[in-house]
Amino acid sequence: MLAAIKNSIFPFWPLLVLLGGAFVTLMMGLLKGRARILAPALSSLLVLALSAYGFFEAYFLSGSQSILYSLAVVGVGILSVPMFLDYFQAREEKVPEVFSLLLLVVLGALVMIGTTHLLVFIFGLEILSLSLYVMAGLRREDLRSAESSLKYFILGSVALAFTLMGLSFLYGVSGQLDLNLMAETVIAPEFVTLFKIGIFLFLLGLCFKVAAVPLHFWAPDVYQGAPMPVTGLMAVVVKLASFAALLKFLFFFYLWEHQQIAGISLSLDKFVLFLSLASMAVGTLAALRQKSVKRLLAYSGIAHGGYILLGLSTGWGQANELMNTSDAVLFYLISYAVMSLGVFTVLSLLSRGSQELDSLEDLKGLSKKHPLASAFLAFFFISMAGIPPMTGFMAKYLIFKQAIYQGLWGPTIFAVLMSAVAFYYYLVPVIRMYFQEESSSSVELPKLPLGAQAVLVLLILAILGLGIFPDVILAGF
Amino acid sequence: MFNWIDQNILSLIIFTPLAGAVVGLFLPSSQRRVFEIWTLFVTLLTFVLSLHLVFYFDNGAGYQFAIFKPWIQSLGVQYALAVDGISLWLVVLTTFLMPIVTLFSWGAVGERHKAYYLLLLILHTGMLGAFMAVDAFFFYLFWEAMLIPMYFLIGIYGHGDKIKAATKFFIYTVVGSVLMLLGMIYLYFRAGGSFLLQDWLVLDLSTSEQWWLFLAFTLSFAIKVPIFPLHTWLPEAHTQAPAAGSVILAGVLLKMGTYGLVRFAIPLFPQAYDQAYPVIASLAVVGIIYGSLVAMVQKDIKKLIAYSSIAHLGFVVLGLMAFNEQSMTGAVYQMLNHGVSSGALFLLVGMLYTRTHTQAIANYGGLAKTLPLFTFVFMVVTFSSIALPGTNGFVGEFMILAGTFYSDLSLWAIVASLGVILSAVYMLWMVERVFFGKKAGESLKPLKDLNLREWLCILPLLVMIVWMGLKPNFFLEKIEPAVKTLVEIKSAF
Repeated sequence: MLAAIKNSIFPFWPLLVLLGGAFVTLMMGLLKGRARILAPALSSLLVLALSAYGFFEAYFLSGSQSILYSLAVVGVGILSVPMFLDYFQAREEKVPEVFSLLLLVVLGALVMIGTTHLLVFIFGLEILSLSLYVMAGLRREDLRSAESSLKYFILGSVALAFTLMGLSFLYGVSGQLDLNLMAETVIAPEFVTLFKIGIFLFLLGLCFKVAAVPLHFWAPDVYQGAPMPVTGLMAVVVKLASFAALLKFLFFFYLWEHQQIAGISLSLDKFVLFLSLASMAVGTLAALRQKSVKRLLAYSGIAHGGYILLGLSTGWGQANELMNTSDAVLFYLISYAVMSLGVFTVLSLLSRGSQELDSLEDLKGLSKKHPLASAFLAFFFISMAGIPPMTGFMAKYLIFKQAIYQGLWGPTIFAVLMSAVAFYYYLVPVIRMYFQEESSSSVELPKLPLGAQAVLVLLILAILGLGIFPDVILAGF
Repeated sequence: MFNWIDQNILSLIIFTPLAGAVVGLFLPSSQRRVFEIWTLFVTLLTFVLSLHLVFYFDNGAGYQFAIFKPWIQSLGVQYALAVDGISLWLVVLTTFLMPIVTLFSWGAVGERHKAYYLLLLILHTGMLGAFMAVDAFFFYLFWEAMLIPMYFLIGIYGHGDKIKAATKFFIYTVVGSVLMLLGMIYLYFRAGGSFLLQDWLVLDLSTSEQWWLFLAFTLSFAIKVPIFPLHTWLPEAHTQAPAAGSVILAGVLLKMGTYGLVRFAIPLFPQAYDQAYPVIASLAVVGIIYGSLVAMVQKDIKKLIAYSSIAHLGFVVLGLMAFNEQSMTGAVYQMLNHGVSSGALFLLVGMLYTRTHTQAIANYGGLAKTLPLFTFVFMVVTFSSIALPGTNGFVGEFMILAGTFYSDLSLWAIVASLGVILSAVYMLWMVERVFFGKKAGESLKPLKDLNLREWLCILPLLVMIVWMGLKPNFFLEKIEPAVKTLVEIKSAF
């Protein structure tokens, strides 16, 4: 009896725990005093840790890569708790809701990463998105926050409409919703065009989520308006989950392309390559001119997406190269997650007051006022720029290596030149913090709490560890 | 014990400064003296360790003290360190200059001293690693990592338009090196998944392959040297950097470029070099004449020395392009000479700056009366810089020019020897205006001559100038075998 229950529950353990945890955390709004703040944080830590317990047996996760992505998402969730706690402490009334939503975001991301069933995937995507729409608007006193939430919601819904349209085409043509089954279905020749359109529409929705150019317009505005830790969550978890899903879908569609009727080419690799080049160019060049840290990070995130897409456009011919490609993409995403989380944690901690630390001008002279915070921030930015021995370099290197192996010289030379330009905009915050004197309109800055410091040190060790010993990820799986 | 040290000596040398930096991270930032002494101790320890290399180096060709260990297996990267006759002295030059720089900084750095000394130590490890790594990936790691501490040293502790100078330095170097990275990835695949230099040297590259790779590698190194017309970052970086930064830049970092040419670009792509050398030699000669002429009209002492560096490095590149044993040996020797003499010059200017807070030549004059000993020291270093016989500069430049005369670049050698004359003109003219001649304004009156700490900084450099000038064989006999193998690689084509 017990074993039967266990066997039927265990496959869904992570999802059930997260869902239950989200409700319990929400109920903690009934508590009073400090417990009302601390209990939700502790409970979400506990829930996240518990959810990871079932990963290796959960059947909804297919393949070692999706386990790694799921671990990364849960890890990011755990490590972001101090930043959420710290930022929202000043805004007490929202604390339980925030942590409840955080758990739901992780839940949505896990579903997106794990499933091969298109409808279930849409559920995951919507759980993630709806939670984030709400979170983006949490700073009710700020008009920007409302704008961010609304913009994200409307544009996100439009993107979802495209995805659903594509989904209905795919379903209509193949009669299947699960990718594994769909891959085995033979499509009648007269429906092939419709099927192709379905694939592209479906992918468009995901390209919106990863903010690939030309579907990137929402990112800077939404990033800027959302509360700092929420922006961090968008930058990290959404990118992780969406790219993991993109990798999976592209894999299936490529496979379909190879197995299906000869003479029909989707040119998916060309499509992805185009997105990649456009993202690198727009992201990098636009980032040069930003005055807001969040917008800078939004555009730099778009550029990072471009590098990942460059990786995704390679290696689909041969099976062993496919391994290397997905390794490179996984490595890039984990590196990007660690570095972004670091940046946003520091920025959130410095944004505890009524005003967020968003303008690049506010960073002037920070190294004197707050040496520890600026040292952390500079480290993360330099790693993002891709200087060895930090992991930002190793991540880019792996992508370039893949692209060169495939003979993509033109795009790769373009990519390295863009990454050289990128050095410049990552140095701007460093210049403000270290080389320029304090501006007069500076506000009093809070100290870094110990829990957050521990997280930051952990992230730095991870950045150095991944950069110097990438085999930890590359060889292990 | 001795065996263990002997086998791991290169690792010890590289990581001593880094370990020192890690320990330094936990020292209390309020105690300035603690950092000063700790950094001096670490750099001296590194120097002592590097002496092991000098004593136990056997005067032959090939790698010595080599360490090969697998590192990133899935990427085929090896932890590969070794020195030969060329890198040996560059390593020792680095470890020799760093304690001097540290000791000099004692008097020059007040605010934010903790970060300063930590950056120095990290930079130290970066430079040593770049000279010792014989795995290209490993080399690239140090090559790039070096940028960050130097960037901060210029940006935080520099003066004037330091942000522009630091950014320019950074972007120039990075643009060159990312293209080199692509070339390295190509060679990695070409060599069947290896970054080891020795695997690359046996590759049979076609001429067109060589040309592309040659362009990617040479651009990166030429920026660092710098070869005209890629030199525009140098005067600003040297002038705006703190004195210690200028010493490291001129003394060690510029040699990275020429070292890269000797170690990677020339031996790996001999055919491309066989076709391109007249062009590069011409650029080198243009750099010599141009650098000298521009140096002549400078109003700022530091800028003058910076431009003189462009000219001096032009000689080194010319010697490398002439590609015979004599000119190459001279070029490698001149790298060391320039490290010692321009390092000393920037050090002296830094000492002057701490006294007067001005670098403009016009603000000085008649210093010989108030600072007789300082003037004497400055004169000796100037002689070395303009290659007076008996100093180290003479040996290097003479070998380069003599070797170039005997190659098919003799015409270039004739033009380049004009540069020797020009260097005497601008240096002596500067010395005349600063130390002799009319007395400057009242503000310069109460100056103190060299103190004990400054003597300790400058004396080792003076000794080296004379020693390397009178007994060059001690150094050359270790360089020559390595150069000989290089020349043989080329003549095989």
